[in-house]
Amino acid sequence: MFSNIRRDPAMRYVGRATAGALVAGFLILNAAAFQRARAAEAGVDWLAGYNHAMMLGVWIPVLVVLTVAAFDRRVRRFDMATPAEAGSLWLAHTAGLVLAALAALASTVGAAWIVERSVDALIGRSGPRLGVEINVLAYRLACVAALVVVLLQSVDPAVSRLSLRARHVVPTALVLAFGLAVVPALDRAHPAAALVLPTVAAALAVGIRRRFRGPFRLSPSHASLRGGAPPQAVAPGSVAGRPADRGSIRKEAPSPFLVGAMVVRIITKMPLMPLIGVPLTLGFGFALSGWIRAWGGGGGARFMLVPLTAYMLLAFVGYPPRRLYLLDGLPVSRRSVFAAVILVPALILAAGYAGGRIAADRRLDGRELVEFVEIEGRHYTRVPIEYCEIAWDGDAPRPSSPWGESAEPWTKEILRGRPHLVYSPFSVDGGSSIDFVALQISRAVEAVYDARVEPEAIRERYLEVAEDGSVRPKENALTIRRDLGLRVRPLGPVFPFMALVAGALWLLTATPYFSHLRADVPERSRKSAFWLGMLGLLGVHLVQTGFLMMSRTSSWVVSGVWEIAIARVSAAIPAGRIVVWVVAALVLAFLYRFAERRFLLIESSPGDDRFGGLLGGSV
Amino acid sequence: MSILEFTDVHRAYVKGHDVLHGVGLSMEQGEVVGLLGKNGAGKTTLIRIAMGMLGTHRGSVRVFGLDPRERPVEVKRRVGYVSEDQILPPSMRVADVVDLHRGLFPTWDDELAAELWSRFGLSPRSRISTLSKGQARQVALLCAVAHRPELLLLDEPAGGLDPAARREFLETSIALLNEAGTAILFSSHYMQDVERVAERVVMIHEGDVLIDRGLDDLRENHCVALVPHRNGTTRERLLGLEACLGVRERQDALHAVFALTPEASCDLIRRELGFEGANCRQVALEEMFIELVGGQS
Amino acid sequence: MLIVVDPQSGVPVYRQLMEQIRFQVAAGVLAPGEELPSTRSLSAELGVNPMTISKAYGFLEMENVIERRPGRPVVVADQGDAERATRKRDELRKSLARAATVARQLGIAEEEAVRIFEDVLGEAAAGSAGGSETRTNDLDERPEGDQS
Repeated sequence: MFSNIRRDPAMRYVGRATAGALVAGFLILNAAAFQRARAAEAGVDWLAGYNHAMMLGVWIPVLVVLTVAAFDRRVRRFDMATPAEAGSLWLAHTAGLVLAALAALASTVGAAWIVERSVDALIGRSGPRLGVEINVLAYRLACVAALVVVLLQSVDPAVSRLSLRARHVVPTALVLAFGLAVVPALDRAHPAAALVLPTVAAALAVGIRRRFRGPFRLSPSHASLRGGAPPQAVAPGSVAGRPADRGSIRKEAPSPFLVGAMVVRIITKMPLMPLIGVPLTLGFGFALSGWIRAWGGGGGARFMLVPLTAYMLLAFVGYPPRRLYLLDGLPVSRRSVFAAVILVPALILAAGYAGGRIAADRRLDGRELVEFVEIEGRHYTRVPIEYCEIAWDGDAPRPSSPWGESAEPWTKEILRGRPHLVYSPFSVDGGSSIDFVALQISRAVEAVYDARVEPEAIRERYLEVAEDGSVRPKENALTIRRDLGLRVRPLGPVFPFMALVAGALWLLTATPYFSHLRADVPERSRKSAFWLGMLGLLGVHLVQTGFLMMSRTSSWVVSGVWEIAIARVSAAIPAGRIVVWVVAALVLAFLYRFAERRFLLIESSPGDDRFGGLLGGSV
Repeated sequence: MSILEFTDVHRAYVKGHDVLHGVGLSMEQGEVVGLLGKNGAGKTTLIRIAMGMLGTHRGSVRVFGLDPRERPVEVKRRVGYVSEDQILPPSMRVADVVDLHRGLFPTWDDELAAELWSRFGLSPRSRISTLSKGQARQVALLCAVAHRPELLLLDEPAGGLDPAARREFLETSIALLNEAGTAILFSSHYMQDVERVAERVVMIHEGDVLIDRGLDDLRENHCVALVPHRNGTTRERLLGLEACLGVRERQDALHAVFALTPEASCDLIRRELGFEGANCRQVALEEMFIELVGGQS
Repeated sequence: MLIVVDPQSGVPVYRQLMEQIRFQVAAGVLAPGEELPSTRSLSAELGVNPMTISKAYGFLEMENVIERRPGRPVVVADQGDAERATRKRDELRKSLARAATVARQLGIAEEEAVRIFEDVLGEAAAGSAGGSETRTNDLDERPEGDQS
């Protein structure tokens, strides 16, 4: 039995799938680690389950990929000819699949566990366990996985090659969703209740095995069965065409749009790309926009995700160039294919970014950004970090008034052990006078809302002096924005900056890969070129993450620093915003042409796409 | 202007190991050229280079005077390509593949396509991957031919097909010749087909053009001489004769290919080597090919 | 039209065509003024390149065996009786030349060869009924040396 499992054709992919799940899990959770660290400090609840959602986000696609793309071949032709019993081969295959799914799950969980523990070590204490423990989640997922895999394999068990149709996938997806929803309830009822699922799966498997009417037969779609013409064919030489057949060709030539869609479909790995690629890209776009900030999370992960974005985009261009041989006979310009390969993911990413921005702006609409908040009995001004300043030498100037009053600025260390500071020029002391407070608030309003409100007006309307001499707001909070209908001053253009970095990383790693896609370059070198780029980007991500983790910095501080820097730079240059956009566009255009040139010289041979894809096989 | 022109084309798959060493070849409008050669001689490479699928390491190729790598759309609109390697997208349906071609080739002839469609009896809803080799080849042929190309590039188009399917293919090609005067460059191992359709034969051997002659010229003005091993008749001496293109050494005799008529060859052998009883005869293309490629030093 | 070509015989296809048409015209199977198939249809029927047909027709036209007019079908040329007789003799001569070579190679004396020929003629006359034509022998043997 075990030797059967080992020899199963699907087992080839287990190693790669597991490694892939491990890496992917590690990467994504890495970025989320900061969320956890920040949340641990701030005790924000909503992040409960964030890590786990990420984990699911990694593992479910891996499961889908394994089941649909790599494991559809139940048995090799060779095995069909051996005396091994067909039923036990089927069982071996199914068992192997379950093992593979569990292995992938285990590696994802392992990655999450490593990340969690290392974050704990670096924070110096054990953070609050948010939501469910990872191993509990893993246990639940394993139960569901067993059932899903067996269900899929129960479809027409005696066919050598499973060809899934919508009518199989949809109910299975429903079962998967249902299982994921129901399992927590079962688990709460009784610790062992969730085991009912794998039990059902096992019973199902045994039942199928018993009733197995072997031997395996070739699937109807198997090419070698096509010895003669299909039943509907008309004998060659006959002249009269059947009107039904002729009518199946469209009456008019298809529109260029349709043709373009067909071309894109040819070079894309369906259904994987739209199913997984599009949501993933949108998600990244969302994350890059810093939309999380609007919900109280730190925006630091935003900038940290840039190398990861390039990594994902590079993964997307691994497969399509290997399918070019399917277009080589057609008068399709490589330039337009390249444009599709590059611009489609880029546009989806931009759409995600835009969506995130819109959502965040919607949420933040009307929120007071200049605040006068109470901290331990006294009131202090507070503005979002992006509107603060940076003191590189650690010497933060005390904000002062024309009449000589000054206060201690709020500061935050950027990297532990280094002098660089972020400081607020709008700070007030415990001992500040009401005029000074009004002055600082006025300055803050000008910085944040680009509106001139006189300090006297502010003092009259919003401030009062308490019995103990401290200044406090007349109502509980400042309502300046609402009262005056102010609009937030837009900060420096972050998008072109991110686009530039991500795009540059992407195109610079893609170009050597394209250069290697020539007929005289062995497959080994091509794979190296690709994976070197991937690992390089991974390395950038890990180095940056590691560095920041070791510097014990807070994610939101990092984000703030980047935004301040970008805003300052674009403010310093005349017509700064436009200049930043133009520079980013020019550099990207240059890199685009650079990569395009290599793409045009790609030499694609039939069968190249056998080696493409992340799992190195049919995926 | 030649419709297809290769100039000193060099190409290697492994560094330092050229598959094509300086191949030169040109084709005029309406010409039918058969490309022969052993497996690995470079026929597929040459055709791929013409299609712009491969670049040249040295030398150039021009199709309709254009570089197929620089101006792929203009070139490919006027070229039809069928190859033994499957390059139709396997998961697409037949009708969709045909539609795709229809949308991409401005000179698509609906009537011709419909006629071929009914003649081949294709089923529109099948996916390419479920078709047999012959059927898939028929789809490829339909797509390559229905837009009335000026040049047809066929790379072992009948490879792996049963004789009836091969004959179908041949007949369709001839019909195309009749109707449109399409120039055809095709590589094939089926000499019978080559002898039917080709006007000119180009034999490639180890990356060089061994022979580039009209087919009739090849048959009429070339012959194979069987010469027994003797003191005066050695391989080297035969190869030394200028009209000798190659000598294949066999157990019983030496088989020499001459670019002369049989009488002239026997005369030459008598004169130069002093041997009377050579058996010189005209042969079919297949035998000529075997003697030639086997007879290279 | 009853034409058979063997692309692999070593004899070029156009030459095979020419010989067969010439023989049929000489034998009267193709009457003067009779229409011959167009290049297109013959090429499709025989499965050979139309250039080949064209070449054969071209040479036949030069030999005045057929006539080609633009826009009109190809027809057998109307040769005078004298010319036709000459051609018939030429055809027979061609066939006999081969037999003569064989006889010489076998070392058979002239008189005996003639006697054998007469016997064979007699057998042919007795065997064939109603003027059925025999197929040309051109293709049965590999010709030694060139045949023009």
